[in-house]
Amino acid sequence: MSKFETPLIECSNISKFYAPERALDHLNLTITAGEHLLIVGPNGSGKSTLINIIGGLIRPTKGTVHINGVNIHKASPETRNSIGIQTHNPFLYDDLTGKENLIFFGKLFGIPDIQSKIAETASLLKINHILDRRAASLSHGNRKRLGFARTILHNPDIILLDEPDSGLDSDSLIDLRETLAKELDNKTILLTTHNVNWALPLATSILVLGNHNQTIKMPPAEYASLQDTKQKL
Amino acid sequence: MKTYLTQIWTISSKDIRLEIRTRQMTVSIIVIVIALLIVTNLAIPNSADTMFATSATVIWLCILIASFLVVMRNLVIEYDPIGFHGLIICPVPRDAIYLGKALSNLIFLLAIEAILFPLSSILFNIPLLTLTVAVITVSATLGIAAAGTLFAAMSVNTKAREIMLPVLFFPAVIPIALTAIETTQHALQTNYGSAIWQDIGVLLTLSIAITTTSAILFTFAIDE
Repeated sequence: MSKFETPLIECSNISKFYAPERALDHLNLTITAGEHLLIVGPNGSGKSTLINIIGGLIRPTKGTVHINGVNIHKASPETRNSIGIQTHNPFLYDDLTGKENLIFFGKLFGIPDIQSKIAETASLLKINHILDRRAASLSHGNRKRLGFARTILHNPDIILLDEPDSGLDSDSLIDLRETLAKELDNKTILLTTHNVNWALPLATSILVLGNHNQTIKMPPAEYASLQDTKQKL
Repeated sequence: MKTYLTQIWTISSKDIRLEIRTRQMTVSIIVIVIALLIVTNLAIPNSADTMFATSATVIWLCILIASFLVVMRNLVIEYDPIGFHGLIICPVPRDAIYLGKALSNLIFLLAIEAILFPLSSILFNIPLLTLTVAVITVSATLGIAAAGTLFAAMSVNTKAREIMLPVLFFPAVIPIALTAIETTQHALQTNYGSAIWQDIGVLLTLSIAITTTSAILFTFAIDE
């Protein structure tokens, strides 16, 4: 069985209600190890909710999420250690510098040689120049990049990214896509975005979430041909 | 075990570092507490009969107000900008998160009390700087910080958290505050003797019970 056939994340019948709205309704989804899943859909279709549920930040109203066979909401620290998540919020403390933020999270993730890991990650993401600045003084884009550094610092197997491209300039967008494509190619990545053209080359599969809780998973080529047909119509 | 203690200290030391850097909490709370002490000292007649009762009550009321402001501020650190989610994503047991936050609350309160008690001793002219008063203070502050941390976590995800926190916090700490006031009065009375250590035992037991219960309940409190 290749790495692409091993079920890693299994969402069984998950629903999430924010009364009176239903963000997700009886969603079933299997994600295999090494898969790069692009999650697309209009605003309010439940993309962020899905990322937050898989990351263990919020509980589904119904259903379960298993990672490597373990329920994420009963997961051990080891299972949590295998996940890196970046939501709309970069999870940074404003009055700590970029480096202090990374050291803090690095310690909690039990990274043995934090300083060299930070140096390595900062070089990879080209954020050395912002490490000594307080997070509060950083631009939205740089906060986002620092938040991404925090996400991948502990070398997680699963990377959950909720609109990582928002607020990034064109150069940063290219850098981020290159990092994801080259350096993190062996990871399982779930990524939501409205910028499908930017993310499509990264994807090995696409999950389309509709406003009426229709969900379809398809290969990128099929999705691209559907988009072409829509444009021609 | 070492990892667990390291996680607790990492969370606490981050709060302490943030406070040392910004001084947003301690300076304002110390000003409020000093103002309260001076006003009550000048306004309340200080007769020999009621001196110990009045001073102990005023001091513990100041500590209660300071405690509320400390846990409120420490709540805001986690809510704005990142909420407890920033800690939940880490592979850290929930009770370690709780103990880390409770420890930083305890340290902030003890730092404020280190200023409050000498000042009160001068203003009320009572012998507050003794070992027994110190043990009473640490014991009661532990319980207050523990309860405050739990209720801060319970209110952080509610829309009306500024209302929820005092509504939950003040009624919950009344038993420990009353016990602390009474024990402090007894400690100030020179004729009370060694029975004071029984009172302190009760206070410490109450605080440890609150801390243990809160650590267990915290796991449920920070879940959505």
